[in-house]
Amino acid sequence: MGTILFELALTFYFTATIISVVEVFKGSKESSRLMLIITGIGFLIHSSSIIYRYFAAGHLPITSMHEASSFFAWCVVLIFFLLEYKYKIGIMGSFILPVVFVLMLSSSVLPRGIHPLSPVLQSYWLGIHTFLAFLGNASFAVAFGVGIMYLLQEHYLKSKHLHGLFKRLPSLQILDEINYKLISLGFPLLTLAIITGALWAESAWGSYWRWDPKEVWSLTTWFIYALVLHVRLTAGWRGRKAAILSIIGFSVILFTFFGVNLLLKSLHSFV
Amino acid sequence: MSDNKRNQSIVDRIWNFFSSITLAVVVFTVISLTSIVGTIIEQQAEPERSIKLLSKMFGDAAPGVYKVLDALGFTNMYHSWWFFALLFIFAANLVICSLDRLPKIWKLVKEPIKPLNPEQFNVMPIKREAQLKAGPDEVKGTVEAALKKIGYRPLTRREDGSIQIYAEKGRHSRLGVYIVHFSILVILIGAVIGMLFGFNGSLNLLEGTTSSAAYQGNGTAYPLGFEIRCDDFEVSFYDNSDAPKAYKSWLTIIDNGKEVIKKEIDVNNPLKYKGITFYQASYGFSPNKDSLFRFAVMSNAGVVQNIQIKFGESFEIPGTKIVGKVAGFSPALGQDETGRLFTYAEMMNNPAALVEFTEGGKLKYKQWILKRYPQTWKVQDGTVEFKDLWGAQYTGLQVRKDPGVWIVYLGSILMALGLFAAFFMSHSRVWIKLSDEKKTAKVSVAASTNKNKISFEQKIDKFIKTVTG
Repeated sequence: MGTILFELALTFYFTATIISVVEVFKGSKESSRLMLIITGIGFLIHSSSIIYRYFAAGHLPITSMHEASSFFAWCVVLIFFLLEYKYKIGIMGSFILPVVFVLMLSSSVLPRGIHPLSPVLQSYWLGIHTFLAFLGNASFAVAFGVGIMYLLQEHYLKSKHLHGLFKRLPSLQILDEINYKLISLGFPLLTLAIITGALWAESAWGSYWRWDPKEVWSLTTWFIYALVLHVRLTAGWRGRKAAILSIIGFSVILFTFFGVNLLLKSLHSFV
Repeated sequence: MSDNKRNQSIVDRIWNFFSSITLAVVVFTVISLTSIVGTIIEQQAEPERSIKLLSKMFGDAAPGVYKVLDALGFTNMYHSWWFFALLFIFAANLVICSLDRLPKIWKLVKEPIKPLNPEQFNVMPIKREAQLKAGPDEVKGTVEAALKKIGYRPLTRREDGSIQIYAEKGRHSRLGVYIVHFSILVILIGAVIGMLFGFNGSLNLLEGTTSSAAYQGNGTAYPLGFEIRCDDFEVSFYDNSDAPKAYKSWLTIIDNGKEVIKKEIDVNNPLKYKGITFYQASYGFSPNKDSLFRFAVMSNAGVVQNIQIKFGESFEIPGTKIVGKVAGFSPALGQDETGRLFTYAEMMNNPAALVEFTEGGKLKYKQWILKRYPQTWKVQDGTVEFKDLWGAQYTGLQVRKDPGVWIVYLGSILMALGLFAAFFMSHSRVWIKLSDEKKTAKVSVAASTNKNKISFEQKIDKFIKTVTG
């Protein structure tokens, strides 16, 4: 049952991604709506697969790389829909759904077994800490997509390519505002994730901070986005620079998520 | 502050240096980059290990590279003088840039909104106008009600021929950023207090033993001021697997010869006494001749007796002449494909005792009794429940004293509050002028906000719609 729901969600996301990619080259109101509907159905199925697994495992399904990637993707779609609800920019899907699909695809190739919870993870912080962290990272993931949209739109403007995709992309001002919104949502969430992580570490590992690779890389991410906010407000680094920084920031997040678990020796890898 | 560098005193120059955004950018970047280096080079590792790893990249030059890294503090960088210096510059930057900007903001926060004169009104960043077929006094009520509905408390001033209604929201949220800055400082202070007055060590306690000290990494004893005893330690596993479910220690604190606390601790649930916290960190297995096998023995007639014996000692099944003796032990008994028994782990993952039963000195039968598997407890003449091999495992406790931890928590709470004010609240102000123009009221709106201008503009437009109906 869990497998069927997961595969089904993957299929819907895949279809929506295909439509969204086609839309980059040849889009219409109808195709945009179709993409949103299919993503919406995928999201509902994905949600039920996560709920199903929640009850099967007895805790938030986030303790293996398979579960974590899938949950990450779910959070990205959630943020995408929140933005879509507010700004109604269908074309945004073309820059975010590929990220969702890649996350789901990596989730699908990873071992899917439900493992019993190791003693260190048996804490009420498991749900709180991870949910904050993933929601924060998802905001940054969407900011990454919006950053790419910004650079593309700016390129069209500069090269006077003023038709096609240019017309369907929102204005630079709106893109910049969305980017800032996402970062000002992601940053407090990341901060809270680090704080709750510290509280948890204090009770489980006997220290709220031990310069573990996961902690260091999260702190680096935190510094990058703190930098984005500071240079924006005091030095007026908006637009292009903010877009580039949010692309760099998301690359660091991807390393924190995959790299630290797979390459570095961290206490914080539960795979 | 003057831009003319020559006229600046040395104090001004230092002040400007520490309050600059450039310094913040540099410090953020340097702390991030060096921290990352620290995750690649293993910290506080044995030199041989690091050199071996480095030789993959640098070949024969590895020992030299290691020497350089070691001299620069990169092998224990989070405790190196230069990393502390970086954190100190970070803190100084934080404090001085806040102090530099705070007076201006403080003035804004202290001063409530005032009505605007026409020039000020005209230069506000958000401007709207509307006409209403009603007199200004009738419109006044509608405007005030509409403002109240979206959370403002409007004030009014009558001017000649017009009415000005003005209101603001979230004035104090301007302080959010400074609360966040201050909270970082609080956290750093808490961390420093922990480092100066705290202690971090460990203690291995064999079941049944007592200690009055914990030990630092270099072996120095740290007196606790009381005694701690490990009454028992146990790892429980998920059914039919070797996946650990819980590591539990039963601890007793003895202060002045009196048992003051008895507590069962596990990984997310430490024991705290007199400012010292004991965490379940590790465990080990070290069987010895005094370790006790604990059995609950029941005869077929139903008579139960709890017994504890050492290896090689014997017991009697109550009410019978059958004598049992522990003749073999495995901490983790397993079976290979051919049915041969073997020990598969060094820890007590699946403890098993081989018990020989004799009657009148003659061996009757022997049987492996496994602690985790009740179906192995039944023997011919009764039931032998293997409860524990006690006094063979030690609990590995992390022992920590950190008087700064509450300051760190306080800072964290402050940070959460500050972030909320800084990101989810804004200081918005709105002024509405109602003037009489030939039986209609002209509604002029001026507004400003320090954040989220676009969505605030939408809010103003919606507000005008509710007023004009």
